[in-house]
Amino acid sequence: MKKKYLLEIKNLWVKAGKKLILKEINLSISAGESHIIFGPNGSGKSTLLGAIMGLPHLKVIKGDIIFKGDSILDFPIYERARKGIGIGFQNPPAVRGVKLKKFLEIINTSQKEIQDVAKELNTKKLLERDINKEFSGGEKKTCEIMQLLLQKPDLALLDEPDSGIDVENIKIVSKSIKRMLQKDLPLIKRSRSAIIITHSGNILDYVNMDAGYVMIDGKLVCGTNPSDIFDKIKESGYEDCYRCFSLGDENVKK
Amino acid sequence: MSKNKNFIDEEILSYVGYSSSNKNRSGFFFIIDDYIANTESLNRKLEISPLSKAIEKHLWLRNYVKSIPKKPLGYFIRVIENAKIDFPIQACFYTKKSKSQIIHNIFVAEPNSKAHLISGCTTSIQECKHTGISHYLIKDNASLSVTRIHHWLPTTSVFSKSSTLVKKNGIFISNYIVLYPPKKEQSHSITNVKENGTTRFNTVVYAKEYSNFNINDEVFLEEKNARSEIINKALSKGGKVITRGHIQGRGENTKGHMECNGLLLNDRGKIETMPALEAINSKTDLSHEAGIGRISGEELNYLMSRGIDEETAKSLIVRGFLDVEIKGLPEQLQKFIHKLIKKISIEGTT
Repeated sequence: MKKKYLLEIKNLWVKAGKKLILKEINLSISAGESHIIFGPNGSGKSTLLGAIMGLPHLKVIKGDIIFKGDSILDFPIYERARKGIGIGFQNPPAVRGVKLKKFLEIINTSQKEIQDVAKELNTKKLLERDINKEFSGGEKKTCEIMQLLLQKPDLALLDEPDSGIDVENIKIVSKSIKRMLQKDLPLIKRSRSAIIITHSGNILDYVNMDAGYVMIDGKLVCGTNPSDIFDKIKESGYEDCYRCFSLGDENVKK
Repeated sequence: MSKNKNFIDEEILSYVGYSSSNKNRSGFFFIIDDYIANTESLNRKLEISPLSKAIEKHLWLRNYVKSIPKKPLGYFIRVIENAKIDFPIQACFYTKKSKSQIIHNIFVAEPNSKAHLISGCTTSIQECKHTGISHYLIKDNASLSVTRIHHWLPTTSVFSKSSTLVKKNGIFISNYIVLYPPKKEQSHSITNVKENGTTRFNTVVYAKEYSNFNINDEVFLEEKNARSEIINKALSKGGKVITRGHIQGRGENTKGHMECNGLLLNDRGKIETMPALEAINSKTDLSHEAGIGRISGEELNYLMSRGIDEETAKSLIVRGFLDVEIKGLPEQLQKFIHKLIKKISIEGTT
């Protein structure tokens, strides 16, 4: 019997403006799985998350994105969100005049949950402020996680949740990500999935991931154990990945 | 006057905060066309009278304001020394028959006093021309907040001028809200600030297709430690808005800041901002920031990524842009302004 995936990306090619960014992306994620994608800056990691979320400046020129059994290529952003996809942006914009609390109340109508999550992430002081306006790097990250915790997506797309924040905040954010991804349950009982992208890999110290990849020049390579990839990157940077990548697709898949 | 007509008047007047049954006011001054309908002080520390009478009683007024006509139409309000007036004073200027209304007002806040004036201007007659000339004198250690709420018809023309003198340690806060715009509005304010004086101007205007605003605020920080902040917000749905601002830092350690924000909801409107800073003392600190544009696609996508559709996301941004929290504003009036902003935010996105 054919396995049912939560997300299936099939031979995806994506352009930003006239520039081809993603090439031949294939990725499948089952319910409850968390996948991590490493890669140097500019390799296309954020573009992949943006394409899944449906950001309008990205154009899918070939391939398909199937979520919960449906192609979502024609879905606008908000419909993808309503279907169960959530994103934590790396650099979220400030939205002047819109108070964070007011926005959270639209995402989740439970005042209790809003207060509990704000307490958990130590973000109560941000609630009466405009969304992301003059937030520090760490505050932006925690604010993104706070919104996702309240949105409760089936698939969370986290863009560099571990960059630009201090160790103390990484611990707090990681703990919440683990809760969001039901990491206290055995894999078979989890329903929430995630794609986390990182170039530092710090998040791996706190959150266990089920699969890992490296993205090089818009292609996903080295689908293997996340810790092995991270150890290799720590040892020699992305040099080996580039070397492996240059050997061709067959090696890449291995 | 028929009951129905009375009801209509009450409704129009409520848009600018006025109601004859209003509680939580310290006094009233109400003009309909050229007729003074109500002058009432509910606080013995508050003097409210027609300006025509006040210039006979306070002879110094003629010297203070040279331009007062022989028979001025408008208020004279004076808060006596050390008086803290708890509830706002309500002034209202309404044209319902006359095609033209020319108002002269003088407000004097004596030393150590504190008050909040809500001044509403509105009309129910087409092609009316409203002219308002106001003088505010804030004496040492006194504090005055003035909230002006205007509610016009698409054929109204408005000209307003004000001059303000803020003496030592005085505070002057001006909030100006126009959410039902006229056809044409020209407003010009000049404020002189003495030692340790503070002023703040918040202006919010909504320009529809037919409207044309020209707003000019000038502040002179004359003596040491004088401070001023000017914040202008203009929302255009096809209307034209020009905001000019000028802050001059003359005294030592003076500080001035100006913010001009404009949001264009379509390509038919125009927002132009001309902030000017003038330093004539090396120890003055002046700054400005300005931002004009359409609703940012990045912000919209961000809000939509949480499952909110485009219309709702736009409306949230417009509402947030216009939202004004004015301290001391009666709850009922604040609620009405919020309701109006909500209406505009929906209207603005369609």
